[in-house]
Amino acid sequence: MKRKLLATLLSATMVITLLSGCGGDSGGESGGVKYDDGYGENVLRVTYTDEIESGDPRQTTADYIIQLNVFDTLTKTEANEDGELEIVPGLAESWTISDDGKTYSFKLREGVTFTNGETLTSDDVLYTVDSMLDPERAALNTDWMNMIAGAQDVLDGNSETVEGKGIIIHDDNNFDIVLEDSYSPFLATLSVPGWSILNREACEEADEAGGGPSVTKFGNDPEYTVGCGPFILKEWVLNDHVYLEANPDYWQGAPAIEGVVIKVIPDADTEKMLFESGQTDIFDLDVARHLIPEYQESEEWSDNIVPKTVLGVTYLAINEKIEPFDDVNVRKALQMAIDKETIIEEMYSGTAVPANGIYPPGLIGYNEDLEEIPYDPEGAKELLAEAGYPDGFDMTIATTANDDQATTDLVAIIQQQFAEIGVNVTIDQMDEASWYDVRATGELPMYMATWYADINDPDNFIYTFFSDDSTVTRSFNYYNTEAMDRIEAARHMTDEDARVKEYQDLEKLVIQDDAAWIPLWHAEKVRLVQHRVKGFVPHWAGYGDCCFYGVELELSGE
Amino acid sequence: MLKYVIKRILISIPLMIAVVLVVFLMLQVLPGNPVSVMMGEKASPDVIERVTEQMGLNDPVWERFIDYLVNAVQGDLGTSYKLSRPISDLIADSFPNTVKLAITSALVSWIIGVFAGIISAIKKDTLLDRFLMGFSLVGISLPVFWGAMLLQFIFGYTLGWLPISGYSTPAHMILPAVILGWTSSGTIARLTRSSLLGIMENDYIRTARAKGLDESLVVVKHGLKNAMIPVVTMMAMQFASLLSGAVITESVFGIGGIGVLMVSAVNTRDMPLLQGSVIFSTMIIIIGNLVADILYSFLDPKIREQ
Repeated sequence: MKRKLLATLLSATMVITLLSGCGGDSGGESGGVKYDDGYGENVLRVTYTDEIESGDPRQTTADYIIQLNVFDTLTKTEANEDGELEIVPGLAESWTISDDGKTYSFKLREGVTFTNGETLTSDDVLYTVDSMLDPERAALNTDWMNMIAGAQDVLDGNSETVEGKGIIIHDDNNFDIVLEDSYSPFLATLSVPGWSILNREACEEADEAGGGPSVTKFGNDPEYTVGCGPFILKEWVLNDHVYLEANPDYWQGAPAIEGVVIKVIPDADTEKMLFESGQTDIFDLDVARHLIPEYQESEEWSDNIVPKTVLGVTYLAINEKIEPFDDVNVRKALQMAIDKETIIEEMYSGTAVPANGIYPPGLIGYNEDLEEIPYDPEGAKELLAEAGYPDGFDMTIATTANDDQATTDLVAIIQQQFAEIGVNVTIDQMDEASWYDVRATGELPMYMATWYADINDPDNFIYTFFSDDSTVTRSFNYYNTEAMDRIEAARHMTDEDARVKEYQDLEKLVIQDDAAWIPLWHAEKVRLVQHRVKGFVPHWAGYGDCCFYGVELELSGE
Repeated sequence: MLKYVIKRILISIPLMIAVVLVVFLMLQVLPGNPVSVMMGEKASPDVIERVTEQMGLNDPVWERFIDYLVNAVQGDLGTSYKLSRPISDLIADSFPNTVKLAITSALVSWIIGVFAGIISAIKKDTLLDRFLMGFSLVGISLPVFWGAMLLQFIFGYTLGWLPISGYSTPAHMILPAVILGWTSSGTIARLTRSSLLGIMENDYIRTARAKGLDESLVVVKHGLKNAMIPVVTMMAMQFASLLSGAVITESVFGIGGIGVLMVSAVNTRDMPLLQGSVIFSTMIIIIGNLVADILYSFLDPKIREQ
């Protein structure tokens, strides 16, 4: 009997061996790696945890991997040799700004072609703006353009174009953008993926093929998706992969690699196996932070870790409408009750830095000299006693059912640390949609969240939370109207040094003096790359999405 | 016979409409505005308000349901929030992969199940019977995700014989088909065994044996043919449920089928996509049951006479 069992197992193994010999005979070989996806060796292989949202720059606020590789913007944000971020020319070769800061005159780079053969002209810039604002399209990135003169009329359906008002075309390569009011971060704004310049002809064709602007084929169907970036959207197999092919006519020169395969791998363990067997080139450890120590200690991989400080900040929001958070001493006590160093060591394997304000390191306005908020539970208790809560109080932290395990753990740790100063935290887990809805009404209790930079400007941080517009809708209910007026005014300052100084003063005022939020940390994004990958540059803001233009691959024959 | 088939089809129609209504209403009562979830942290309140209006989400529920039903009958299930494409296109792209997985794993399941069932029945109460039934019990009890990861680890990662994830070549389908087939083969094996054992006690089997027929002929021709009625029904229903998406297997192996589509719709709160794919899957189950019923009536004349 046992012999029979053994024989069955053996024959099953043999059958599987035979079958495996039949398939998977495609692809190149590199250092023993046989690619089973059918693409050649000089192709970069990256992963994505979920199906990528639309590749249409107008229709996504989250996934930018296609936009960053297939399209191009008028300006670009890049790190210079010293690692400082600066705005450099992109499709716009040069520009001048009027004294009142409202008119930007651009000169477009000549000879840039879209992948349908059309040449880039000023009209394409006009189309990009008009089509984003078109109410029929229900586009999601209108925020990046609504400061343009006449934009509101188009959004409201009272006008079809900003031409003549917000955009004045002089000729094919020269045009002005006129703003409703001066807006200092405008050049930085032009570098966001939402400002990807589109080709009028290609987009109109795609709209028609799909049956209208709201169901356009642009950005989804490779046949209709046309950009002027370093790669071309070549193939999109739903929930499997997207293939970006090198654009041989890219204005900065063709990429060194043949293309990029973006594989959709929802499962972290599968992703680990794929990376370790060489089937993928870049492993974003955000999906598996617990693996970081293992790789840090691994002889094979420790040199291949690419950390990038994210231009972002994780924080606890304080709702000043809820008692006792209206008392500044209570807020300060909570700021002092969190042992950030320990959390960073335990939960992030050291891959984060403690935050004391709102701006992350690397961002314009980041203040190295900002006073440290100490971890001081005893001092915190004294502050609570001073505020009339010697025995602490009860409070709630709202989380969503969609939070990942790491976030859930972090909130639980914070709950414990607050308990040490006598503050009793109840964790209220809500449905994600209700969480957003309640937050928009200004009634959400304390919550933990992370904000990432869209543009390299302090306005993108402080205005988002502490302006008249959003302090209620993000459930801060910050009361200091004087500070909020200064935050609004700082947007329009044109003297750069004075502006940075003002933002640093505002940070000290809002975060430290008024203790309007609890700064936690600036996390790093940690990636692992294969030995063959050279020249990989993470996105300047530390997004998961990157442009792969500079990547080179060491091939096995070399 | 034709009358029976027509009757069964007609009964299915109100069921389908009821399913659409229930799924639609269920997703309507969910709290919150899907647009705010869709846009996440980066959304400003006025953009959310504008997009909500532009998408028609402020219209009354009944108006949206009628619209939905009228469009759905014409094959238009709306547009996905997240992926900005027609849902019918998304389903049309995903379904063939689910079909591929369903067919291969159903074959594995049927072959293992029927053979194990027959052998167990013939060798009743021997060690081989216990082993095969144990094997099928393991299959039923095995968590698919764990078994799948184990196979990936052994055959994909350690031995490197088979691809770990994806579905572009036939080799990609082997591991998912084996694990899914194995886990669904247990039910078939046990059903085949018990059904065949029941049949083998009948008088006509004894008669067949008595007239000197070869034992294998007795089992196959007289026994199995009659024993297969409940098994075939089970097979059809199992196939229908495989067609409606093997959520876990698809996710672990990265097969872009209906299951993965549903999971990503849940994760991203893509209500129209969730609605569309759930309705589609339910339709597949209803049609599967319909086919099972009709098959049953073919195999067993007693049923259609009733």
